[in-house]
Amino acid sequence: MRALVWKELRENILWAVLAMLALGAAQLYAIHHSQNGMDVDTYFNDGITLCKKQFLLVTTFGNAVVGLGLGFLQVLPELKRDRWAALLHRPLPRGRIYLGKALAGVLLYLVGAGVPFLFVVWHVATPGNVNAPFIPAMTQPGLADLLVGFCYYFAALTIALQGGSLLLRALPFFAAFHVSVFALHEGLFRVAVEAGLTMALVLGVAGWGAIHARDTLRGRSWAGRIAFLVVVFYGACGAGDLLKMIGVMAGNKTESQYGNWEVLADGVPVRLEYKNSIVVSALDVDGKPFADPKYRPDRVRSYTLGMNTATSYIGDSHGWKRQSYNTAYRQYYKYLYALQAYIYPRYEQWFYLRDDRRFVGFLPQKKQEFAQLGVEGFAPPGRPVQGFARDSDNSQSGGDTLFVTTPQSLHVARFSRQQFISLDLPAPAPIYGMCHAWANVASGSVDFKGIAFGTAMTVYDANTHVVATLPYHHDVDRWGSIGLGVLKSMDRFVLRYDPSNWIDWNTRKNMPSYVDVVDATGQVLASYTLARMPSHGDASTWSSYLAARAQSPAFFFGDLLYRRIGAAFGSERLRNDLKERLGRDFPTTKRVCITVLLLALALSVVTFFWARRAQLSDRRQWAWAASVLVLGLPGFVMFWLAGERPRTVSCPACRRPRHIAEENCAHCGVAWPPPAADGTEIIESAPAPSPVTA
Amino acid sequence: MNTAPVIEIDRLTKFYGTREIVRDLCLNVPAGSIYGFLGRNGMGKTTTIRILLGMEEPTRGRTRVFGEDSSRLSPETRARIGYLPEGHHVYGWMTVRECGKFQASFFPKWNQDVFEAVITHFRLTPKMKAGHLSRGQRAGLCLALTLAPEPELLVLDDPALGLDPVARRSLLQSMLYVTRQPHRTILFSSHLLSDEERVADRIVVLDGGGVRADCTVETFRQRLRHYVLKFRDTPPAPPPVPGLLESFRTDRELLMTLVNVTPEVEAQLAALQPESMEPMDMTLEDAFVSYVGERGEKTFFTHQRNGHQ
Amino acid sequence: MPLGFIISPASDVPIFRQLMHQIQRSVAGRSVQVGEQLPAVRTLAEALVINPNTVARAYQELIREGLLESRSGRGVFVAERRQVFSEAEQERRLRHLAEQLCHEAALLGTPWKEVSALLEKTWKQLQSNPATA
Repeated sequence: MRALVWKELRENILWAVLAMLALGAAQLYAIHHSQNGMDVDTYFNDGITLCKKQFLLVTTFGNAVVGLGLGFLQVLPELKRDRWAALLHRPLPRGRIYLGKALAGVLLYLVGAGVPFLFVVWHVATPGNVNAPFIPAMTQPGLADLLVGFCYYFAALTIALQGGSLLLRALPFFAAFHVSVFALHEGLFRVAVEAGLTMALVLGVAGWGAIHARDTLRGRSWAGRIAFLVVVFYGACGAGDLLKMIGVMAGNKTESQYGNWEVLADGVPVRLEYKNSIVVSALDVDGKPFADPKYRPDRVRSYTLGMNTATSYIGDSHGWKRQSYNTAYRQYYKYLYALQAYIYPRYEQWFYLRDDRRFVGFLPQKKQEFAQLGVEGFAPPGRPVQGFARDSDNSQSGGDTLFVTTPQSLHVARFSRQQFISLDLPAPAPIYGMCHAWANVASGSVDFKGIAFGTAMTVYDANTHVVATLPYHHDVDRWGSIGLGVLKSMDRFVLRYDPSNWIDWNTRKNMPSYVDVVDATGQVLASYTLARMPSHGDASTWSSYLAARAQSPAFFFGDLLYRRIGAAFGSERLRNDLKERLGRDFPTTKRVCITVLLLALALSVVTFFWARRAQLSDRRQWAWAASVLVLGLPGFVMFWLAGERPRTVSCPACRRPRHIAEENCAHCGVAWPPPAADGTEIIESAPAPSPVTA
Repeated sequence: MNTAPVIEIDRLTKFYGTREIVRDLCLNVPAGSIYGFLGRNGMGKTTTIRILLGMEEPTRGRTRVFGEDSSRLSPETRARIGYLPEGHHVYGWMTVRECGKFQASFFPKWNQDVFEAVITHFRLTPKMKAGHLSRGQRAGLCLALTLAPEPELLVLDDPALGLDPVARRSLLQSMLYVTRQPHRTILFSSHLLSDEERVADRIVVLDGGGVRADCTVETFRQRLRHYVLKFRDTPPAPPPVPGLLESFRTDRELLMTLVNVTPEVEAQLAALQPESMEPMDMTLEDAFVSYVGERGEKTFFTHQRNGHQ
Repeated sequence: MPLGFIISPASDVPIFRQLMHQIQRSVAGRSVQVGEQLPAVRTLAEALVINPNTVARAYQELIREGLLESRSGRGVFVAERRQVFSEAEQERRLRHLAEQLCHEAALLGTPWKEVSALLEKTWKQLQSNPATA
């Protein structure tokens, strides 16, 4: 066994080293690749390093290629009939031979794909190399890709060891592909890794089965058979993923159509309709187009106010907990974000570390940390700093100024002077949120902060002066989602009230929104009631439609069950998902459910008759029909590609088709006739020639 | 003494797709004998051997080696079987010594003396790179790797293929060397009838998917008889006697090759009233060619080309 | 005894018979003396690269013919000359060879005188100088 591992390592180590160099070079290049022709290390640095799209592209595809390549290289050259026989004819169980290969392959893969990744991590973690703080958790996307790469390695082993049609043998690849797609879309690192490792294990077991019996499932252990069927099932799912992607790429793009209300620069609400992200109509509250040519659909976006929402609720009495940011593990935003660079008097770049809830300042020229900012103010680098409170929020104004809020406090940091000062609250605590209001004016950009209190919104300018305090004029208990806008004249403000997030969606969808234009004293100058826009939802493409509806009943109900169980065990994420599916999305859920069931039923019937025609035994006919009923289209693909098709010849006794592998005819029960003799045989019994002595 | 056959093949049938390669093949190989596997290409020799060693699944029927089902040979049983597949593959990047060390790590009963004796016999040195060996040398190395674990059963699939006469002779010597120990069994397939004749105790002729002959070389030669019947005039058409393999007519002669000749058959031939009738000995090669070749009356190619007379 | 036998497998004469003939000739030519031991079956088989059973069979046939004798546990020896063939069999064997010789001579146009002289010379040589046989 040790010799076998050694042999495998020795045979392919060169390839692994080659892969290591190639991947390492590609990953380093991706890390330092400049976007838009700018030097990422000085301008527009977002500090995302290990979460960069280019880098993840390399880890996703590069690791897959290395995994596939090593798997194939380990088996295919040796698979020539006699060479393979020489390998297998060893006093070792086949499983051990497979294990030897797999063990060596895992090591080779770690050399080929793991070492470059480690190197890049080390490179990024070493100060002076990149102009960004190193956050260990940012290795998660790359790590997930590294582990998902094992799927490709074992897929290659399984593909090489498995006999049968090309389509069938392609399925392990698609199973791995499916996991890749899953890991790409999954939000949680842990779940992505679990999926990757599980599929790698399943593929590994499938390959282990295939080395025992190349062409048939007979001769494999139960684990090997089941693993292979699972691989086929997920392979079918992966092929569906690919079809979906091709459908999207082939121009069959999602037709997105939606509308929303915005506020024009002069304070008038405008109803914008978008189609594929292009404004197709701009109407006023009465549904009429504007006379002013600058409000034509093609230009109107230049004349709308920049405003966002300070808070989604006021008051915590409704049991609505502020949702923590649930950003997917592949998004750099989960780990950090960069503040706008501050250039005078010297060039500084600040980053907010989301997990530590502290800021880190970098000198881009030196690519080194020079200061940090925590709840106790600025501090030199390297010292442990207490982060901001969990419920704190921050927002930058004009480069130099940073507002930091907690429900009870308001602080301002000045980067140029390394000052961190507390401001007195102009209204009673708590602070419900902070928002940003901006507009482009001739003299530059206006940049205001709105701080939402229980009864009023306070507006600060970039110099931290209170510009206005605007009392609310609507029922903020229910219209507690409040946004702020500033008109160009800077003495008029817009408050927008949307229904609070804690209100059930079905109720919320019938509630209007309000826009008030107020002056600096809070006097309402104009008020508009905005009718709720119908939500269109995305019109699906044929392929995504098919993919959604072709999923198996097992998936469909399993998914719901998973969320139900998760909710029962207290997972908020799963409970919200479930609520959404059975609440807002219930009509879709119902439609999909019916389609899934009907499709599964139809395919199950087809399977039954197909199995009957293929001369499968009664038990197998029923078993397959039942499997397809449960597994849906992927199950059907499973039967189509992996289901046994016993060969038949015409029975010499009854002339009906009979299995060549069965001793007796299924129809007439007659055994095969003995071989015909024609009198030319020379059979001399009495073997055992006396062994020669001496 | 173990009297159970080393190899038992019971009504083995193998299909590739709808093509039946092996049909109802039955064969028992007792311990302590050298069996020669003969047959034209595509008659299932290699397939049978591969099924025997569990490399392929039979469609029907059973094969056992040392009493164990072929598809479930335990590692212990495998260690008792030496198998030399066609092609003589070696890991080209290893030296001869490394090949030996590698192979030795799998076998509990590795005899380094045997390994060295065989490689010396084939004029190999331990430092040679396996990838640079000639065909014959490679065969020698493979043979050494196969013999050194001292297998009780040696299965050689066309070992002489592509070897020069000297290497072939060394191969045969090695085979005889193996049977020095009692109860060592060899099953080897070959197209070289002279080799089979030299070393085989018995030959098995595969034809049409099954065993057509299973006997000693001597019996095979005795059972096949070539008759030259001389006539004064144009000879008559050959009578449809049982066991007629092929016949050939010249101006005054009728030549017939027959198998399993009985006195009745000889009487039928005598009834043709030839001027003389002479049974003649055949070489093994001629006998084999007649046995597995095309049946029926042979004509010259030229006649065929000009249209039949 | 010398093992200089020549085996040609492609011949129409079976190998064991080829071996028998050559042993017979050696004994007749006195290159092997009465009472001398023949090589062990396996030794001869490995030297000639033929199946040991073939050697054994040749020995057995020759023991049956009385040319050789087996002394249990010690091996095979050239036997004391004794006649095992009937007179008719002796004659049949010789006549077969005589026919061949005469046919050949007739074909070559060798006169009988020379043929008989040759026979006589060969006979004398056989008696006096076993090695050249």
